[in-house]
Amino acid sequence: MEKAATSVRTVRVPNRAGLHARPAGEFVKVAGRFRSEIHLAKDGLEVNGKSILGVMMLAAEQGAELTIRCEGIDADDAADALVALVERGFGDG
Amino acid sequence: MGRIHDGLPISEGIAFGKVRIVRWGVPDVPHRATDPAEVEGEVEAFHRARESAKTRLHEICADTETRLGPMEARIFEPQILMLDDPDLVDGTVRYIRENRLSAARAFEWRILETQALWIRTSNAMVLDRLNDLDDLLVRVLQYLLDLPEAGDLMGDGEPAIVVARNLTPSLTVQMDPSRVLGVATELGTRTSHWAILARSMGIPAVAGLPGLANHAIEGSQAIVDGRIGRIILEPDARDREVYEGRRIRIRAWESELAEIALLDPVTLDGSPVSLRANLDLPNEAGRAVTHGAEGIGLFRTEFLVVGRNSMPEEEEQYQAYRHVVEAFPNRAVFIRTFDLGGDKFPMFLHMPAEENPFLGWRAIRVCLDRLDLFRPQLRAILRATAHGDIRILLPLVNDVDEILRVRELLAEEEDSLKRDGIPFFSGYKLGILVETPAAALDAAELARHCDFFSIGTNDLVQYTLAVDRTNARLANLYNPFHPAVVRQLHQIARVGRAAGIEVSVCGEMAANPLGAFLLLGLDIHALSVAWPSLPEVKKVIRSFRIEDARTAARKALAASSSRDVTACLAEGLGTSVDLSAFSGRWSLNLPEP
Repeated sequence: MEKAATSVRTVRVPNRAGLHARPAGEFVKVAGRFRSEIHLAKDGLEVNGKSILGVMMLAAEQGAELTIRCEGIDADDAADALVALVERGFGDG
Repeated sequence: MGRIHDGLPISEGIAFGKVRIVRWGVPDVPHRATDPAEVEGEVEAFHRARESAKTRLHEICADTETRLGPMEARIFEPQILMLDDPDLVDGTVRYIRENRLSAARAFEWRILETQALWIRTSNAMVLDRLNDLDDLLVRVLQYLLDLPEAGDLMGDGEPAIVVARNLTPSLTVQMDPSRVLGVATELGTRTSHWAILARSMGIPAVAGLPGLANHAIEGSQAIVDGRIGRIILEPDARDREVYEGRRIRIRAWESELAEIALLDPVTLDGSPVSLRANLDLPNEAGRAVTHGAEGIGLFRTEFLVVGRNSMPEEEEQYQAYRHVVEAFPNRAVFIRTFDLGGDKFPMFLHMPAEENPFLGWRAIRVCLDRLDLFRPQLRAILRATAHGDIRILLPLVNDVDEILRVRELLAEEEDSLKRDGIPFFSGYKLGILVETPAAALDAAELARHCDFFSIGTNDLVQYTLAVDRTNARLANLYNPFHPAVVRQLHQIARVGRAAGIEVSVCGEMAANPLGAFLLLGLDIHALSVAWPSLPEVKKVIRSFRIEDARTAARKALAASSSRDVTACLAEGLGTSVDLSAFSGRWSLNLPEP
């Protein structure tokens, strides 16, 4: 059996509009490409990182600190991809 | 007088018509327990309804993209993703299996639970999106309960003003603007998805009118004024007359604007003006072209840094600059170097908290301290000079030394490009944004080292009057027509003429009809405005004689107060242009209708 790993990373929301509906969609689309379980937390509230309803509920604004916790065989790759997505400002202009 | 209700302005425009009260809502879900034998059938039914809803949303999305554009189409994307949301789907299936609920009931519960969680966040952004969950709930229930799609709000009725408690994105995008004359709702905000769609469709709309559906009478007359956020129920003859006149003036004005993009920006007596566009993002260049821009008078480059966690690469910058320059062959493109600080903080710079950020470490001051940020930008701009006519514009310059230092840096980067064999055009121009009283008073010295001046009126007004323009309490003190501002503009223009360099204006003042009139009267012949304002400014320019502008400017220079300045200009321009047709954002000191 492949070995499960955990990868925990924190990142700040850089884009002005924050984690609104469209970026939340981008986040779950990327999260959905990985087999790992993905959890996203802000201020102690943790949601399923593959659920757009959960991610939208966090309402993370510019500067908010997010913790991304990935558990599974591709945890590191998932964390890398999600951190990169947030750092790019979700592709927001 | 009819009964006036004031709410939130959602979408501009004036509409007259009969009230049509639309009551839509989440359909009633019959309560029934399912038989154990039926459970898997309900699960199947749920997945089928989900797939049907997805297919339909993809259709709506594609249709919206064709009719309104990609931005508007994206409004429906979250709903499509929600239909595959594991929490929503698995939760619903679990309720069907464990609680023996019908698919409709289970889905409704799951959505209500989500809404309850969202409401608890009390976050405006999240509350705005509750409406999208309603939209989704109604759609899925329609398939599960076999109901007709709640699409056409008007049915067979005649064109009318729709009055509703609230709307959804789906209902709005399916409205036919020739039959839905206007919209007035009890709930909703400017940032609701349906509000964005109403604006894009050009349907006048007002929201935030509590109790409206009870006050309004089906079939009675009403006027919606989406610009100020008002509905007048049962207007009398006088109300109608006032609004009719206003609507006709606005319509005539707008239809002329549409035709004007192709005409030259010259005054009535043929005096030419360089009319350029301000640009925030490279991909707006195309729209600036179609709106008739003759070049870019201000290309803001902060999009490359704000909202990023790392410094922008030279190559990315070069591509962005090149893209814009190539959209304007043989035309000038003014690229402003990073104007950071003030209210724009990129994360990677670690800007210290300052007592007075607008008097602090910002603009050219940041760039000259952070060469690791500035050098790649200069190098990227130099590389872009190989593709067109580039003018490098330095923000917030007060001192000759600042220009000299940038010239040194440019010389070093030019040498480095030569060594690397990378092409550039050495005939580019370098100039400054004149936006402080210091620069205005010292313009003659600065002009000796500049190839052009561009006046940034927004900051010049703020610094001259010591009024923070973002402070709502001081809104009436922030006045671009203060005599102190007018005299500085005159002084900068005179110095520029004497030095033989171009003087342009790229602040909001250039887009204000009275402002454009004044600036041309002061012999400033190059204006740059946000691209959506180009047709309106051009229309103003084409409607007066340069001599009339000069006469009004002379009077304005002798005026003793802001009010007098505005009066001189309104009097001078009012003989050529119907000033009451302008949108309300300009304080033109005109009587309300």
